[in-house]
Amino acid sequence: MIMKKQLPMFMKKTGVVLLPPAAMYLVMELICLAATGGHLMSNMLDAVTFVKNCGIAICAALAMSLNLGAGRIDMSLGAQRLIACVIGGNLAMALGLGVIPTLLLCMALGTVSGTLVGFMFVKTKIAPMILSLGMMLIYECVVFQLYPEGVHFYGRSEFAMLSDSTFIIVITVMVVALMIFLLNYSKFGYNYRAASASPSIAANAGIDIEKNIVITYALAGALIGISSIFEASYIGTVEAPLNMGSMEKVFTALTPILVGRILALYSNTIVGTVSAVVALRLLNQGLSVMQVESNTSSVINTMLLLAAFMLVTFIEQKNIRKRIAEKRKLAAA
Amino acid sequence: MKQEMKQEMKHVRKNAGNIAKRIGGMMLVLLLVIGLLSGCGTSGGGNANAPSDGNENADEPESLKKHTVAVIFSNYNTANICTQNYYKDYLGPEFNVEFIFSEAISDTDAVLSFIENAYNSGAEAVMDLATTNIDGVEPALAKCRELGMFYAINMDISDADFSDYDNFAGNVTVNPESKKETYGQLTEYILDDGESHNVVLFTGASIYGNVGHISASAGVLEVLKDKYDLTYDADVEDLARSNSITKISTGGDVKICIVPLSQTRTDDMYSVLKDGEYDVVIDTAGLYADFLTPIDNVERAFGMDIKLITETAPSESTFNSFNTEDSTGNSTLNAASLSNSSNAGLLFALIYNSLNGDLDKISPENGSGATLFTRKWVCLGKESYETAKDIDTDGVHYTYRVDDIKEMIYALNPEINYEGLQDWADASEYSEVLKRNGLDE
Repeated sequence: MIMKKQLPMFMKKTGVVLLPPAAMYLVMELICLAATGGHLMSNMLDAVTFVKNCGIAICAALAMSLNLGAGRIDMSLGAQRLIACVIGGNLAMALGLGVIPTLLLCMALGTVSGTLVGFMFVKTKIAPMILSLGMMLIYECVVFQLYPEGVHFYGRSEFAMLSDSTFIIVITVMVVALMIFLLNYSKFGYNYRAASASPSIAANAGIDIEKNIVITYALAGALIGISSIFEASYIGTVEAPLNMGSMEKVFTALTPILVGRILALYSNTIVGTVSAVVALRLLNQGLSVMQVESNTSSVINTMLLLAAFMLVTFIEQKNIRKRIAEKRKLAAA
Repeated sequence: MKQEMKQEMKHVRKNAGNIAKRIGGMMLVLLLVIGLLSGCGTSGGGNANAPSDGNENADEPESLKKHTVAVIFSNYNTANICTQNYYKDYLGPEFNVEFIFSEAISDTDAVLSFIENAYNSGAEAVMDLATTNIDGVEPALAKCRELGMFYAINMDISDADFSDYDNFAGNVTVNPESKKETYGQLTEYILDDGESHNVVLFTGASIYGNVGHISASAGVLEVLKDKYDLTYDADVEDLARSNSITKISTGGDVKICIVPLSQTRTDDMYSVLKDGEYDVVIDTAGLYADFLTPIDNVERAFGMDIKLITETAPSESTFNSFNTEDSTGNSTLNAASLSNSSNAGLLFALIYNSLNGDLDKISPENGSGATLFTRKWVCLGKESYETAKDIDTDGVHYTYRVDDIKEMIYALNPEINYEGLQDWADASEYSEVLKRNGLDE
């Protein structure tokens, strides 16, 4: 009986989560056919490139969503990415490390840089945006001072595995599974959700908020470390920008996170974010097939970000109104 | 009583905790402010001093009086790192010059801000290797004049007139015609196998009017036109300025696609190459590293060899690119226009003469700052690169050695004048450099 009730609900939720990528695929396929006479994925190369880009973007979006979900924006995530891949990549080359140790080293550096931001936040209580901007500038300078030329992976056959699509899929699936477990079925996830909903209530309930925040930042750093090394080995080269040049990556990840939060109403944040990333990658794949100018492409993506912001705000306000109405109803009763 | 003491201690601890938090917060803010204000400007050894009162190096001969010079870079690519090392480790100690290097700067406001900071740190002159837009030169020159600093630039515009500024030391540039010629030679080298090729031409900042990139692109298009007997429906320079990905009409079977500079250039290149139609990529802006992955992916997918021409500087990355085999067993990089430190050496000579009060001795007769034309080197394949790879990189061989630079300094060689400096600029030709470094045998 319970199964009979749960199955349609599960199917409905799955359908809603799968809808954005499926709809986006159909729409972009039709537009590409009409505009260029070609397909969205015209050959195996397109599919492999798509998979690699999705893996990189999923890890980055999950990293960003961790703090954003708790009401903190971490602008230093792009700079943590540089710490992980530029310093980690160059160290790995100098030490002659293999693929897995390199991945672990980048994760470790990402974790350390994330932990430091989290630690500074809980100790100084400076607003997350201000603090992370400062940390971003410091991290950018550190990377630049150490490796002004950035990191160059091209021609390093020993790291070829890091940009292999199968390897990226396997690691990404493991990351998604681990994140679902951590946020939904572990003590950390319980505390994280409690602290995100209401830090004061969570603290009164005996949850160590500061510890939870530091772990969240550390986890985000580890995830951006994974994403960064995949990206560096795939693109072949990563520069060491200054003057907030690393921040672009943060904004790239914002749209799928916001769309993911809407989809999370039907599933959970992780699945929603993954679905949103795939949908937006399909959109960008379509724009690439149509050879849309980069400026136009930026405008489209920014408009989407704005639309996602508006939608999230609308839904949150609607929920608040609903809760107030319920309270009034209870009070009246 | 005990309870009161406990409470008092608790209160003291709480206060101490708050004070510690505040101190921590203030230290962090201070750290951030230092980070923001200093950017990542680095000094070439030792501390930068405030402008001297003229007495501190009174015992030194005038020609070796200590000077501080600010250097502006737009990025820290291989060529600029070589230049930085050339100044900091090679010329600086020999000429008693200290350098203040900028962070990577890409806009005029940042240039002006850096100039002010450099002045406050004791800089007397500016060498600008970042500004590429003529509109950005005048504000920088005006700022330098206001602060009493000399200014020299490395920019691909040769006909600009800055004679109103008496602090303008000069411009070092690559002759656009020579750049056109260089890219023409590189293109001919690739096309000489007798087969028909389809070409992707990355025109770099041509859309923003970069003369060097326009000349290089025009050189490629002209050689293609002559080689395959093509007809274009627009002038080659207009084609080079195309502001979007453009498959140009060639009047024949040969396909040519123009890809301009954009933030999404890697994706742009991939979208053009992904059908396996094009087998030559020519990059006129030295951004080839951004194209290596799309090229490699397409080569693997179609089992084809895509030839690559670029502009680069001798470095480990360039060496790796020439010597790394792609999936078809060919060199990743097939030919290149090689930058050298001639621009850096000549800029230094212009500024050093200015600081010695000899700007008028090395300026052309019309009174405006000197415009010196240097040369890029043509490198046809990895064998050709073998000889060039050590110049400007190994700490021994340089396009201009210290003795050469001394010949360009009026205080050390009173016979030098504008024409003499131009002769030295011409001597940046590859064969001449090999000869001066004893590598010509």
